[in-house]
Amino acid sequence: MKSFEKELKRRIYWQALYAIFAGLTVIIAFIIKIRLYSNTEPGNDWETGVLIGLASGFFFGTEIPALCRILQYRKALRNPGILEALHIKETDERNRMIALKACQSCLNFVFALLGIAGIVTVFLNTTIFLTIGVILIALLILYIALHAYYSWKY
Amino acid sequence: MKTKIRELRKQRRISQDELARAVHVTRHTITSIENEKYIASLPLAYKISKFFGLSIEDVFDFSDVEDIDYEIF
Repeated sequence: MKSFEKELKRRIYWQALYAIFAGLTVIIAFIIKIRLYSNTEPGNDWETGVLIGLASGFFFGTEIPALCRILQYRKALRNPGILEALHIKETDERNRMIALKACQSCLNFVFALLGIAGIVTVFLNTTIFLTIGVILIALLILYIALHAYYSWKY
Repeated sequence: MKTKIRELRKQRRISQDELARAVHVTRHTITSIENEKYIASLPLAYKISKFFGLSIEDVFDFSDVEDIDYEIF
């Protein structure tokens, strides 16, 4: 359990760093866009409105989960019961198998959908077709490399 | 895979939650093993058997092990 405590402390540090970095990036990007590139007053045109929506979405979408995790980990570090429950939840073999199967199925869907999209875009747009082709080849190379690595490892 | 976990638990008046905590898994995992939806790994089977003070063969039924259909997806 000591190593899990250390792991949680490490996660809190990285989550906090991530929250600060992601939050600052969104705020800075938003300010740069508004100050330098917007021709109209902030919030007056459609583009700025969409930008405000997206920036707020990204901001809260990154900050709130990070904050929730930090609070959850801090709570677990203070209470041994919660710490044990969290450890069991994360290391449970059935949960891991479910996550692995979900990832595996998701990847199969991604391959199938990219394949279908590739076939459809042959007739519509060459650039998109080539992009999808490159993505598929890159995924295939990554899969072969990882397969070789895990075959060597186990 | 058939197991005697439920039987053994009831004999000894142990809840799923207590067993789960003792072998360091979630209660859902114990439920799934009891309902033959999930096959425990070797270390987990060992932990469960050790918890009951029995051998793995006494808790888990390996008679139909060759008929187990491992799902690909």
